[in-house]
Amino acid sequence: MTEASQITERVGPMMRTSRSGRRRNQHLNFGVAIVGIVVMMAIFAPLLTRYSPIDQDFSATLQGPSWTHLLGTDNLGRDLWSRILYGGRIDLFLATVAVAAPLVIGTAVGALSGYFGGWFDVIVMRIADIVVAFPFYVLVISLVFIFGNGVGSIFAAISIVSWVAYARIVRAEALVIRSTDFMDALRVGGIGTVRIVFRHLVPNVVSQAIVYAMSDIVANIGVIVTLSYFGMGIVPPTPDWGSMMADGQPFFVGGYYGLMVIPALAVIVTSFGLSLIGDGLANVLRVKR
Amino acid sequence: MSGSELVAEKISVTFATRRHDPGHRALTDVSLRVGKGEIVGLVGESGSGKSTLGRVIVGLQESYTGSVRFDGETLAHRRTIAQRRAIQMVFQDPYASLDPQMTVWQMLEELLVVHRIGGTREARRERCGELMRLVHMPAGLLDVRPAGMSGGQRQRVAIARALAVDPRLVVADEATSALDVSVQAGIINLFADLRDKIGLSILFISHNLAVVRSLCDRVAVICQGEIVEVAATQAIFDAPQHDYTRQLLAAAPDLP
Repeated sequence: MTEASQITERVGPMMRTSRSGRRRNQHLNFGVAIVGIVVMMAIFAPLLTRYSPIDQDFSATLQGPSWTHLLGTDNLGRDLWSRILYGGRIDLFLATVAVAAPLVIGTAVGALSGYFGGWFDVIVMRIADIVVAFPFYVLVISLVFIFGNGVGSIFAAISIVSWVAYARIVRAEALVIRSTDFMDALRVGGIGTVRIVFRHLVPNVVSQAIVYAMSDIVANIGVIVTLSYFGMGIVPPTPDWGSMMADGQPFFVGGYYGLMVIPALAVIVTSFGLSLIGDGLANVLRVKR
Repeated sequence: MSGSELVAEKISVTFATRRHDPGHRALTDVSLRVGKGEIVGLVGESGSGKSTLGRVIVGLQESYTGSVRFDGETLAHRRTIAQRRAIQMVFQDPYASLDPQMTVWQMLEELLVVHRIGGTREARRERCGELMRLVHMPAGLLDVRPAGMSGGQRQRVAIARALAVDPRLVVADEATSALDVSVQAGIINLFADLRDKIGLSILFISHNLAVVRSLCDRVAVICQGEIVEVAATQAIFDAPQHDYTRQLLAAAPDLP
């Protein structure tokens, strides 16, 4: 590589930042604002509503929005606003936890696989191939079917399937980093292999995985909501956006659109916010390189 | 020439790219000596095997035949931590040889901790300050990451890192080639300084003959994996014996 091309390579990304960095950071800010509001609403749910999300009131079923029930009530007289808030709690929590575990496991496995290569890499990558050979939804739904409904089995099913994506992303980056001069410099310096992998390799390869994690939360919300919609996910009466849509569906024809549309909007707005964060984060982290 | 002395004897390295491939011989029976406080230049064109020899000496290339002795001790192919400490390396590209995620202090301190040098955190901090002074860098840059430094500053940090563990020999593999001329001069003076001040031995790998001439005591010329000529610097430049050395000198544009 000539010196000139090295210079353009290094200056390139920085110049890109200065031109459009502000706009890209707006993605991040806007996303953080949306997700921040949604998360706050979920956390402070008990302060934001007077009603329990599961108490039924048969004297007030299928009501429209009013000052007593902000978003109205469903066919069992449950307050819709409460159910949206509390439903967000379980969906967001589960989606986040089901990203954290695969992120950690996949990053560790991918880093070791990429750094060492050899038989460990072959075995890990063949397992990964097997997992990705199945469509994501099909595999997760089958696993939940095997494990049974509930939060624990959704978490397990998503984790088993989605660590693979992180392992592949991190492995590809690790393959590039492991043969750079600074890795050699660490070896010459007598730094141990474990230290090299976890203190030097991982911090240099993890950014792509973190960016992916943001879009993965969106995917997880989709899975959780879908499973619950099909009655395979979160067990009633615990409110969640998917089962709310399923519950509201029969009344859609009768003109009670809100029962289905409002939880759907909650899913869309949250996913939109998370996607914006992922987008903004991708640019911020790319600049740091 | 007593004391810490590097003797590499009959080093051969073969790179087999595929199974059943006889392989490409990168080095053939190469022998080289670097005395205490001596700066030896290793010159040759690209692909001649000079970097491979450097990597064998610092222990990065673990498969070779022959022996590397340092201070009379034969070094294992897979080096022990103490053996690593004695021989350090400075790489060509200062943009690639520092961990971009770490501050200078974090890099240096890690080495001190791993090699159990320095005791308390304050003592390590002080030692790192001294190292920075040794390579003519302001101690304030200890808390800066590589992205915040120029190429020359990064290379000085890379040298400080090599010196952090008190090595007795430093292999500088094209350590000035990626730098512009004025910065090069600073780094070369630094190497000469370090030899004078702390008695460091240096194996200076380069294709830049002008630099080698101004810095080195002796020069080894390597061609297609074999050392064809070793002599005092003056002798190499005034009266080259081998044809290849003459070609190399003739091809250098900036020499009189």
